[in-house]
Amino acid sequence: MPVSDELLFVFMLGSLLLGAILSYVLQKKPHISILMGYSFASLASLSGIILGPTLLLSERSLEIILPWSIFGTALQFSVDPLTAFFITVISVLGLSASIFSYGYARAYIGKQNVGVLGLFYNLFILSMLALVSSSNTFMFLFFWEIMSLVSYFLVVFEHQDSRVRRAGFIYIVMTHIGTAFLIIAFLLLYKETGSYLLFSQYAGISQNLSPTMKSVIFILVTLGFGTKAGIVPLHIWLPKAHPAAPSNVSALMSGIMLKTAIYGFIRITFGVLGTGPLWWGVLILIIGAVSALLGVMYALMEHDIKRLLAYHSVENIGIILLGIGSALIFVSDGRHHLAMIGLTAGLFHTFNHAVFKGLLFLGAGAVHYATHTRDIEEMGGLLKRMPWTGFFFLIGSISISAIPPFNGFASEWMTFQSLLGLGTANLGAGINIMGPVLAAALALTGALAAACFVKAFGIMFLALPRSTKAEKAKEVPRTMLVGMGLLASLCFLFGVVPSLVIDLLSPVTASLLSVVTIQMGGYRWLAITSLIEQGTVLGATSISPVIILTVLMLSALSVYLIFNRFGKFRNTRIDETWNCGVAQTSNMEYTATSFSKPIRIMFRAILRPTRKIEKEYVLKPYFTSRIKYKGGIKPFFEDTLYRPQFKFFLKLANKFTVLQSGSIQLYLSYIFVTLVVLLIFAR
Amino acid sequence: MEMQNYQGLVNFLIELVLATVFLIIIARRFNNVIMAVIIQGVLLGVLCIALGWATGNYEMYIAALLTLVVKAGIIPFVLNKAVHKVAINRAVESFLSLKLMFLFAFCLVFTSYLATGQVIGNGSGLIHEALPAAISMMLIGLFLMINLKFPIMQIVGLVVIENGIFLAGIGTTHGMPLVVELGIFMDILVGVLIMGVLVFQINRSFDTIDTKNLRNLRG
Repeated sequence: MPVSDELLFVFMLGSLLLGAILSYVLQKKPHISILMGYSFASLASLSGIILGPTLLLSERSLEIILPWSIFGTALQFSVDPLTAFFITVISVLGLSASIFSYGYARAYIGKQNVGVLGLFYNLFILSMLALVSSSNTFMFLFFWEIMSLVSYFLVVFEHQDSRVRRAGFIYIVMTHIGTAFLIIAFLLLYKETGSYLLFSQYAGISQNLSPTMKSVIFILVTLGFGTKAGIVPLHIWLPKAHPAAPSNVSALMSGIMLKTAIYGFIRITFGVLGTGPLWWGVLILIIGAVSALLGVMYALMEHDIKRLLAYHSVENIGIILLGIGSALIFVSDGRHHLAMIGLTAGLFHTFNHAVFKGLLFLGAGAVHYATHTRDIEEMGGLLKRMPWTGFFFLIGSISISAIPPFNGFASEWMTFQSLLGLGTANLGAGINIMGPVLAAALALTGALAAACFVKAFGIMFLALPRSTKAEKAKEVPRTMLVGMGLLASLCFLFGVVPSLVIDLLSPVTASLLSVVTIQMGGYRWLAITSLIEQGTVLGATSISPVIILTVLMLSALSVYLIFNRFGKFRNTRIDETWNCGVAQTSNMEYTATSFSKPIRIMFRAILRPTRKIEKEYVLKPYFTSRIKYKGGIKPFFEDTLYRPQFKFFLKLANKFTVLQSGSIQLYLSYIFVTLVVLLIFAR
Repeated sequence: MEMQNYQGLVNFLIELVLATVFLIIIARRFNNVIMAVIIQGVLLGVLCIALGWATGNYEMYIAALLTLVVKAGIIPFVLNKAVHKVAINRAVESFLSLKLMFLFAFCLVFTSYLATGQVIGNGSGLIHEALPAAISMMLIGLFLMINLKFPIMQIVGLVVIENGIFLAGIGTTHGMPLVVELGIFMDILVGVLIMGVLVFQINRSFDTIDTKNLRNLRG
């Protein structure tokens, strides 16, 4: 029934709008406002979850023209496979975050205006859905701006805190710099291709573009979308804005708002610009590798759980770009079969990152809800107090560390394959060396991510509570657990049966590269035929998550059985940890700072750690009463890239204050002189 | 009616209006300044009557009446009242000397004739002197606002600019629609009234109306 799909799409947008309005109107009754706001958001997300996969599986596209217009441009939405895939991504996370918000938003009752939160929350999802469904560049930019503004208001939701306002300021400045690049790129596209605005029409015409113009547009688009996605060094807003926003919003921002930039990038490069020179792909690969490595290194140094997760977003955007970059390289060579692997890996990781990062942010929100702190050094022992939250957070941690049998592994494995495919492709020695080197960088990233989450999970959930805040923590309300549980089960499901998503991606790659993903095998095997030269398969590789899971379970079971039978587990004695006779306190525990110290030393050339030790003595030099350790890392990009510019403009502005003398007569003289000069010269 | 016959008279009146601006420049005492403003208003009213006679546009007579009432009546009255309320010293001080101001004003007149010479050609049928004179008045009005220290002189400068605009309006269009003129009158009248009150209030709050003190507001 083709009519019902269109209705469903309109229903999806309409219920978000209704949710926004109702939530705001009912702000005097916060409980009803929360119920209304997030119910409509959930309803819309549910329809999105139905709509996206339906369209993808039936391989149909939608064209919807609403009877309204914005600034003379008709509201025309078109849902092609790429859009349908992103609608699915947005809706999956939207549903979980909305269910989570029922409980989470209650914490704000009496402190903040929950009606406003519901209003912007709904509008935020609405703008992202409208953005990916925009049929032309004008609408795209319009909703892009709406999304930026609405997310800005969400970032500064707790505006009473001056740090939050500052974070919001940095966010809105950075995001507008990005938009500026995009506007230039779209205007160039408009100028070069005539009056056509539709994406679908651009595709045919862009063949006539000169290679230089194409490259200029490509660079602009990379910078513009890169700012939003948070590539290094344009990432500085991320670790500031994400912690400032409420957690359900940070889940959406990190999980899907960054992905709209990936959407835009794929839409323009693959959909509009088409085939480009080799260096496009190389550039994206380098950006991706640098972002991934630096992102995870900075994440390791963070002790604020939400900043830590924000840096992991930088890392994961890097991993996504590694997949897309290798796809770009293969496209430039015309090998669409191999490009398909990279693109699928990138999009699959996009989906997975939305799921597990959403889960982790919701988990961080739950912990913040229970402990009222974001500093992991103040946590500890939460697993006993919040067992379900801990369990879901653990699943998220394993997924993001790319450990089987969870979904992060599946997509990173595919990214590895596409990178290693570069090593054997016939593209010259440089690329052949680069592929494996980048694969090694990706492996390092994965290992560091695992270390980071061992730290995060261990310090947060294990051992004794490090503060009274953590001691008093209680499990969060059930709605929040359902929201997290939904995402956790998806992490597992897509980790074991990745073909569920890969099959959905088949029409996407078919529309962008005219290659389908069917050859990746069924649900048991994830097979990649990476080397096809003139129709003959030279090399193939495959992996089966189901078998990995079975082996893992069997080995765990056998270890348990063997030890139970032969080990000394039978006569265990449960007692307190022996502590050399001193009473055990949380001061003796491993801290996050000390855990990450080896890595800080290893990468000190990159991280540039600073340390300051203050000692107070009872009797110098042997009897110290107190040692104060202050460690940090140098904000390299702020110091070298942003501060000089900032200083320059401030200096320039200071020069101009001479004009502002304060004398009204002088101000009038400026007008006067201008008038007379214009009269003389412009006659 | 034949327009050409009245060209000489109208142009002469316009020159007289322009001359009153110089009266304002040379006036060293505030009473004289207000006198000059009244003369300017009366001359503008006469100009309106002459134009109405010349073009047969009877709305011009209403405009003339309004000009006389507002520009030669209410505005000078308000200005005079404001001066009496706030000023101890009613001498007009300027940054430049009188000779320099005179020279400068002449340069401005020259400039505006130079600049608008091409807009109104000799045979264009429009009133020849109106536009250059109007532009001169606007520029000199602005110049007065810049150059004179006494704050109420800034209001006078504004009135001169406004008169210049009015002159440009009636001189180049053969009479504007009455609605537009009414709007302009209301504009200047309300503007001057508010400024008169404000000057009084500022004086009461700060014991001074010297614009020099605005420098303290600088960030």
